[in-house]
Amino acid sequence: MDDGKGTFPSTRSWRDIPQEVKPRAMSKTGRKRHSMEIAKVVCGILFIAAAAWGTVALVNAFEYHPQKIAKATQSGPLRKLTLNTDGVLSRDWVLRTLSIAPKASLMEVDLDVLQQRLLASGQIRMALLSKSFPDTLNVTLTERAPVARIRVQDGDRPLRELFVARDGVVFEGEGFEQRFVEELPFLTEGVRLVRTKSGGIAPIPGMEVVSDLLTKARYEGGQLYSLFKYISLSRLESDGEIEVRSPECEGLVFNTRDDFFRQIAYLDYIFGMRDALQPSPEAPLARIDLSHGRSVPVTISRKPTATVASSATGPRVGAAATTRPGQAPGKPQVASNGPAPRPASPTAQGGAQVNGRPLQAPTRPSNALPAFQNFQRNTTQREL
Amino acid sequence: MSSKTSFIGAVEIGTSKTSVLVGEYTGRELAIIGYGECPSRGVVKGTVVDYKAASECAHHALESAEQSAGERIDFVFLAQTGSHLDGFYNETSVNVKSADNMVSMLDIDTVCGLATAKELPQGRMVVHNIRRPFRLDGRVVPGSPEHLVGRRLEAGYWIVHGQENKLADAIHVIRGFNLPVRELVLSSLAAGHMITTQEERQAGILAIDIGAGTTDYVLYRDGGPYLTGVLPVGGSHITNDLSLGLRLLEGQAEKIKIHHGRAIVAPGAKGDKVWLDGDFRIGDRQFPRQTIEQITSARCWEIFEVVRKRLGTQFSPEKCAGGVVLTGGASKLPAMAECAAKVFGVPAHLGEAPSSVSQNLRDPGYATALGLLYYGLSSQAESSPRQPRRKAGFLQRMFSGF
Repeated sequence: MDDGKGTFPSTRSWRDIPQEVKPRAMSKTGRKRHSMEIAKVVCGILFIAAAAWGTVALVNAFEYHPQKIAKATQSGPLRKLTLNTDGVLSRDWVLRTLSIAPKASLMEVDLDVLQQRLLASGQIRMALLSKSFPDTLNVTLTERAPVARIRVQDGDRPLRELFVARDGVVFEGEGFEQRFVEELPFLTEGVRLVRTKSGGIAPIPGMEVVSDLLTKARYEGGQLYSLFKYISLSRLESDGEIEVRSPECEGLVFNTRDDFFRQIAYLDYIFGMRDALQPSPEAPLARIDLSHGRSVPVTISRKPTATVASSATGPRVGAAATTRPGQAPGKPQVASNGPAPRPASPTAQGGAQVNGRPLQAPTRPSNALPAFQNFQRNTTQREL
Repeated sequence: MSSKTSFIGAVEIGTSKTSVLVGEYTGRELAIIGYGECPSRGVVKGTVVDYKAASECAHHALESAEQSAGERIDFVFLAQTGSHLDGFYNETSVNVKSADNMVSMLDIDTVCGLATAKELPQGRMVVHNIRRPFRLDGRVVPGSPEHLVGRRLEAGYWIVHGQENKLADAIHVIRGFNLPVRELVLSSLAAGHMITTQEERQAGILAIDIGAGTTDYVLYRDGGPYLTGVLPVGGSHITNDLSLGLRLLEGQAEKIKIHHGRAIVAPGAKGDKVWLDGDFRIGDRQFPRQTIEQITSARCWEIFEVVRKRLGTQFSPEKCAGGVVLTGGASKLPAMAECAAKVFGVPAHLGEAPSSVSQNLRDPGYATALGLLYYGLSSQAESSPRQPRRKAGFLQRMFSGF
């Protein structure tokens, strides 16, 4: 079908009939529909006008009277602070850290600035702040838990005791119980503190694995955790070994490439056999090397326990001075002063040493006995 | 058509009833979702004679259709009938302009423009320009002749036109409901589009819509409408004949027509009598069945004869392989198809709506309203590429959301 309209003179079509009808010629329903249509158009115009007016007013307010915007939201002075944290930080500490000006309006509070203030404390891993108008500031914190302590002396400043978290972040702890703090071991050797551009301390690498060891010891080692007083990371990067010192034992060497649970189990067994191993009750176990798999060289000291760990003040790490824990007179034959030289495999070295005498290496088939039986054989040989 | 869902009202303001169908058109599919009907008033032979009465009736039908659909109609396709509608054929030819004799779009536009630029008498307006197939050097081109080679391009249009005031009256009845009329479609084209298939239209078929006041017909050839016409005679004339012949009231005559009328006298009707009411009330009486059938068949025969006469030489059984197809309320009279077959000398049958249409809308009385929706959409789709509507302005588009 083609109406054929173009450049030619077209004949009049029914489409030329004007369709407009006066409202009087309409039926009641038609008038109603007509009124509704007009009302919709009017509403549309009003809506557009209102939107335009609102936009102009808003732009005007932003440009010339920004203080009116704060009033428009009915924001009052900050009165309440709600704190939601998974750690130990208190509301007072948060208030102190935020240091919001008194009678400050909630609208004036800059959440980004407050968040930076909170995150400046290494103890806070994540901080979420939100406003609940008219007068409440909501603070949600995710905190770091310390896994170890470290003593730092920075220049002429006094010696400080800081905490180290699992991710290696060094921070000044706040709000932790004294008992909990005292149980935390000190990081001693092998820790190199690096100052960041902002003046803080960069995270210590390798703390995840240390944290794994300490967590295993704390929750699955029972009383053995009390042995974990000083931790040396000097051979962590090179040999994958963590050395732990304590008054009861001058050196416990853990291999990070082996299962910590198994190593702690060996340790537990050795401490169970302590009476049989020691020549005298006063002599501490100088060194237990758990880094050789199923063979565990054990070195027994002749000195009494009290002289092993004399560092009451704990170790120091820093640019100024560094002390080594367990650096005390009456050292055992196997080096306990600083990181011990890594022994060769027990078999090659001739096995563990007891009072300077080498313990004969067990000759066992590779898959003959489980680990604990292997220990028994070692100790039995020593008794023989 | 835009891809936005439209709710289209198909309105047929007939002599006996005004029917409205609501179609939901998604751009690809059409679904009939509402229906409204109202006995017509103020309409005689398809023409509005009482604006108020016709408006009330049409608006009632529109309102009930909207309620039935649960949606507001966006625009209307209006069926148009009545004796004021007429048609003529106008043909033009142009010489193909290009040196290589290849037909270009400009040649097609020129010949189409010339063929439709025919002045009409005062007060007449074009309702449809129905193009017949192009001819290039005398050979028929079923599709577009663009890029074909020839010297002379011919185009012919069957131009349907009507009385301006009568067309305006029908449009204003709908506008009184505050609805725009998007398409005005000849009733015969709407009904014919519904009851014929493309194959039948290609072979040639005559579609006759016998309504209450008018009989609309359209002859299809070469896949498209070839000729249309409207007779101001319909089913109401049969009723009137019975009323006069048997001296009955109009309602009684209508009843007799529906129950005992036939388009051909049955062989065994002689001596048989029928009761007017059959309930033994005072005034109930008997009429010879043969007399009733003679009256009704005579009028039916006459209707077909007049159509045949109007078609004249344009109709030939050889070019009408599809035969005759009947629709409309009066086509339900028994033996109507046999009567048409005898008059036209070709097979005849009653038209049926496609099986996709629901059962309650398959009555021949709704063929026009149904066809309006389909034909209106297809004609819009055809015309829109050549006559793109002006793109709505920003405000207009925004307000259309309300």
